[in-house]
Amino acid sequence: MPVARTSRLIKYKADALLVMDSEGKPAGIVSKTDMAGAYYAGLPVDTPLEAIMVGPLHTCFIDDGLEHALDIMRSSSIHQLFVVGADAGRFEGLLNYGDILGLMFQICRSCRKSRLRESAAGDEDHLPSESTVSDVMTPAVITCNVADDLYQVIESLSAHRMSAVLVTGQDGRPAGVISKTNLVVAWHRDIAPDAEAAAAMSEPVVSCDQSNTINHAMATMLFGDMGRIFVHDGSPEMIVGVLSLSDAASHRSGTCRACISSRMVA
Amino acid sequence: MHASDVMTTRFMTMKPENTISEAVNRFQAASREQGKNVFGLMVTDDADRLVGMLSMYDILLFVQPRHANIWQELEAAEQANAFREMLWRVKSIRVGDLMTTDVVTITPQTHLMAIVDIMIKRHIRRLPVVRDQEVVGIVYISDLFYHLLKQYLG
Repeated sequence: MPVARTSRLIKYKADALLVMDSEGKPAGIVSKTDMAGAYYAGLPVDTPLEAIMVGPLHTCFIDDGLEHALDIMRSSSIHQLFVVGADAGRFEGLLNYGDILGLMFQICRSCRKSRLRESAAGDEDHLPSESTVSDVMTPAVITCNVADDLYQVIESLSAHRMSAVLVTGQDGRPAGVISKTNLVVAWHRDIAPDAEAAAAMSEPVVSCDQSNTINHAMATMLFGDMGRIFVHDGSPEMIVGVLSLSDAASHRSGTCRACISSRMVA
Repeated sequence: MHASDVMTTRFMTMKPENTISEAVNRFQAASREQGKNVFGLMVTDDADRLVGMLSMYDILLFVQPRHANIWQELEAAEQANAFREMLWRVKSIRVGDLMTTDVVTITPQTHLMAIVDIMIKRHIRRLPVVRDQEVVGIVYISDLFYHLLKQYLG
């Protein structure tokens, strides 16, 4: 059942599907970007995955260090690596950039030199001030209007290499967000690409204040399964920027001299 | 010893366009009506043809946080807020987005031993009974279990 492919990606909140060949060997990968491209091209949702998959697959070994894996991700501009063990033809799992950030976050929270622990102990006078969202955010926010069609939304995402676009209402206020996941859902539901953005957007717009700390914003993104968060100034109706999880992690890394792992994602 | 001997003919269904919130209410109503916990419901289209199945597992899978291992780092109140915020996004998801579409079905004439075989081999706990594209019942593993074992074990 072809629709099951998009359904599986939605249900498992996966970033990509691994495509196997007729012999059960990995043949390629179909990401949400690939699916959004197929949707834009007007391909039906039951298009064979072979027609839109990309390859070769980027892999790392199960005993590689995370630093090495992150190097591969950076140099290839990808966010996931398939993990192989002794049998090169069999995948042991998928290593996701977001999962690495989650692990770093967990290590940091439990570190005995963590700022959180020192703050709780009332010993924060010697701590340097924390970076805030406004220090790192991208002030240019890509927006579209609720009345724009999904073709325009996809073109905008593609042109700016963004994973999500802010949708504003006729009054200019934030009305919703369209991410690549929303586009996959729209494709899955057979919503025509010339439909208005309002038909595919999710709401409400999750945002944080630009005076919030990077740690706070990262926690919101990690716990909310978000790859980016919009930034407001005082009121959620005044969006002034966007902060990606990777930008937040890169900026935050290296700020703690006690920890090597915190510098890994720089 | 056929599906028709153990199938439940009074069952609730959902539509693909139902929201997840509506699905949760439907699970509760079905459990009340059946007098037992119903963990999965059939999804039918406007012509009442079976188009999928949705289970509690499917919903839990979707609402499970991606970074589940770091949730223990939060205080209880923070966890509740974070989960509530996350569930906001579930509101835009429909039953048709999460349902399993490659559903195994049986007919009223399917032999009970064949049903046992399907349930064991494919880890299925409920099987829709379909005749001429029309859903006529559902066989639950518990009904099958008691029907077979009580009848023959006494």
